[in-house]
Amino acid sequence: MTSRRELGETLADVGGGVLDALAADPGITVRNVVYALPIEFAVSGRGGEAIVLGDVPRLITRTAFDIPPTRVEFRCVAELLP
Amino acid sequence: MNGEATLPLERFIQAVQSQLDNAQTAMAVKARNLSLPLTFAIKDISLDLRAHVEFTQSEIRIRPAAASDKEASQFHLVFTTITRPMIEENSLAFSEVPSETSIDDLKEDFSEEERKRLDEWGGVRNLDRLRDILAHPEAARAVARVSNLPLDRLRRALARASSPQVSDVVPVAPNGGGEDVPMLMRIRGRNLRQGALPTVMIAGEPVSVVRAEPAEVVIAPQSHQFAGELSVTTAPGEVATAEFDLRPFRPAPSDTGGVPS
Repeated sequence: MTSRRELGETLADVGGGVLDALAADPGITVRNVVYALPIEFAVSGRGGEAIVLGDVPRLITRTAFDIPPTRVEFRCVAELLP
Repeated sequence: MNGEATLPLERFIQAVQSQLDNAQTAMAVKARNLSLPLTFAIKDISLDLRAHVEFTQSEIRIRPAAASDKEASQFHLVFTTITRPMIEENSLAFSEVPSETSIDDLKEDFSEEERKRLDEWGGVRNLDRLRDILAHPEAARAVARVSNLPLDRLRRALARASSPQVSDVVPVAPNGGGEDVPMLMRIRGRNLRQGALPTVMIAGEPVSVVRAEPAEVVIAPQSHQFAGELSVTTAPGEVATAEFDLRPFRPAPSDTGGVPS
């Protein structure tokens, strides 16, 4: 689990993918995106603070050594930058 | 802490919230770097977390399921964004008077764990709130139960924290006014006024009280009352005492300011 990403990093990478698409083609209008992903959760610590690790499964084939994935659904909505 | 560690449920939720904030920030930074006028904000997120649950010392602790954990419980957590008006509406009940004693000041009465339970589970954040709750037997029993603290201990802590206390006695810097203005002294502390003006004595003799507030009492001592044992009585049986010596600040005999001696 040491190479697992933090949950926020994973969400930003997945959710931010739309931003790349918008930058590549300014003609696209996206207002709302819903994602549903399997995420492997674990808890780590840094400086006494709990850090939630959450990353997509590394392998398609599940084995007894893999963490049971959690279903995560999230909705991103377009907002003007302040 | 590692993947096998348990942590309180609320800390897990706070850690997830922190990750959501990080994701929002990262997406806004990315949008700016791509020179886009808009970003994407995570509005709702739901997790079906598989985890083990423990209940120790009145605290729910969880551990995300590890490999080969077949019997883990399932938590369905839903996070959503709330607007500023919603925050303000929900924060109103918790508003505090800045000068009020926080529950965190009761370190001598409760451990950190106990104060946390009182705050987070009982909604007791300051002494005023504790006083209100203990005045209502049903609410008092409910808070005692959820915080796992005996009612007697809560009452003792409130009584101790509500009793008058003197922290220091300092002279008031002369502010002109002529010879007929007496030298003043400021007694600082807490709970120094509960309703009527307190009675202040120095070495068993009464002293004139000029002004009294819960955190401060201003007195006009006579020239021979600049040292000794001071007592402030706010109510029958509610007395704070302190020893002090401010004789170097005593006015010269010709400058007694008209105070009878």
